[in-house]
Amino acid sequence: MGDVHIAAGAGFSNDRRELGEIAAQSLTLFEGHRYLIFECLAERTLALAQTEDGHRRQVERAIGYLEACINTCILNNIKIISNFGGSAPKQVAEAIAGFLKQHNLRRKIGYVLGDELPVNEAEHGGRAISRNAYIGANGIVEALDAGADIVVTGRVADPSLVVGAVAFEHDLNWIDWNRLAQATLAGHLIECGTQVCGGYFADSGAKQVPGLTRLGAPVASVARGHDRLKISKPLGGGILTTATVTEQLLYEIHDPARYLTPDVVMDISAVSMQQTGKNEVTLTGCVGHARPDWLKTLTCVDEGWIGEGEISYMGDTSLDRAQMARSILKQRLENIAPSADPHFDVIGSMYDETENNTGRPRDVRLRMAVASVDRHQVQALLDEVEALYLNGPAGGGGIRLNICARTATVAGAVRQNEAVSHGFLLEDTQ
Amino acid sequence: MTEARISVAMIPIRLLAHGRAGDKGNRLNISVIAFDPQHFNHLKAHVTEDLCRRAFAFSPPSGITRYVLPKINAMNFVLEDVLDGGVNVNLRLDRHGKTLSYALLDMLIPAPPGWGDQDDNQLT
Repeated sequence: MGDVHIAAGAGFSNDRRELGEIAAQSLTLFEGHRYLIFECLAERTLALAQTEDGHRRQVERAIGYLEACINTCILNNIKIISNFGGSAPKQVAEAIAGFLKQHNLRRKIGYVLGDELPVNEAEHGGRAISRNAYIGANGIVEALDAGADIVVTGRVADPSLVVGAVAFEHDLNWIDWNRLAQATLAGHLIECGTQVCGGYFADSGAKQVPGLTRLGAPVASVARGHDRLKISKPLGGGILTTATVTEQLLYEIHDPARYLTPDVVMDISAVSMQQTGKNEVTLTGCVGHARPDWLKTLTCVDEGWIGEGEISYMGDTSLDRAQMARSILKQRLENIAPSADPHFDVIGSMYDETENNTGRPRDVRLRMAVASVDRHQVQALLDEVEALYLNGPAGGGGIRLNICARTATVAGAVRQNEAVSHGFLLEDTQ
Repeated sequence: MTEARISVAMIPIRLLAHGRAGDKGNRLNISVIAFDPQHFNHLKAHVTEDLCRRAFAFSPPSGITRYVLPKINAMNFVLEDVLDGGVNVNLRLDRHGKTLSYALLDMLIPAPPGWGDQDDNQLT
């Protein structure tokens, strides 16, 4: 008894909207405390959200996720925790309150602050856009403690979304390292949504996945006072096996004994797992060590623009012509902008230099990418790709040109007490 | 005669193991997980840091570390500086390096003893 069940309704900023509803429906099959999380922040999402347009998009995204599942959540008393607050958790929480009011729905909405850090003007040549610390779960617990049904955060470490729910329901002590690590493991396994239950897994041969078109959502069930952790996929397509769970267990892991989070250092080096049912795996053996004194920070820095241009060639000599086009482009760019340093990919034979090359491609696409702080220069260089229509090798086609912002993310660290997170309740929803 | 030939056959890692690549900053990790626990020691012997270095000859990492997790029949390779500065600034087609798991999984290793004896193990 007292298990906490957490389902993931999104694993990245633009995940399938139907997943939230599948996740909420899955939770209705469990008894106990039930939470739905949406993990929506990638490394540079916060930089993109700094503009007015970017903020509008993050509000639309949050409301889009809620729209798909809010009725099921209210009917079944499922609480929601998400970092879809992005760069402005309070403002996104207010927009959500407005949306719910419009539909005569009543929920208490909480938000978490404390991740945003002042940008140091002197560093990064004055081009820093945003600076945030990866904060832990305590702000989420405060918001839940204040009575929130929906908790809106910014840059909380991904697994901390789940740690917040477990720490609140199980009244965890903040130095109970093994329990914090268990909750972190639950968060790590479901934070990428379907990636633990058949998404990003399918291949020919031994990796067949049924029902890929409507993949189901994973549910983590955390037992109180025990190191048992169950991951299951009750509804929808896909599969959840020790194979799919192991791939996700090691995803973005470096030293398995030291996975650093703001809440705890998770140690999965002795984790074992068993298939305990159809689409259900049980893990044990995860332990925790004292949390680091430092929080990771990420500064987003404006690095100008990236331009990409591509052109295709077909037939037995396609590789020859793509290589010819590459050498023409190199020479023309050298004349226009000697410092441009373009990057080329010969798509269709990118790994030909490796020792297990399997033969000649018959369909090759040449790609050129350039970066510059000067957008006009990027455009001028892309014009040279377009000029290959009339001024390059035979049979080139399908040219596409694209320019997008280049935002560097620079990792740093601050002491835990320099970025303290707190949870609040939005006043007019109290 | 036939058995002798099979014992030296080379097969791609992906017939014995699966895996996934993940990025953080300029670092990439690739898991290699045995389909069949019985092949884990064979994989451990042949899928080495050196083999991984050869798989990435087209973009040499500055360092490779292998972690072995025998309880889950898996290995984790951590490759330093293979992403040209990281996901948000590099000029590659696949900025995350997500496709690179297959650069390792396609590498050839000796077939394990007994491989090919059964019909369902035939090379494809």
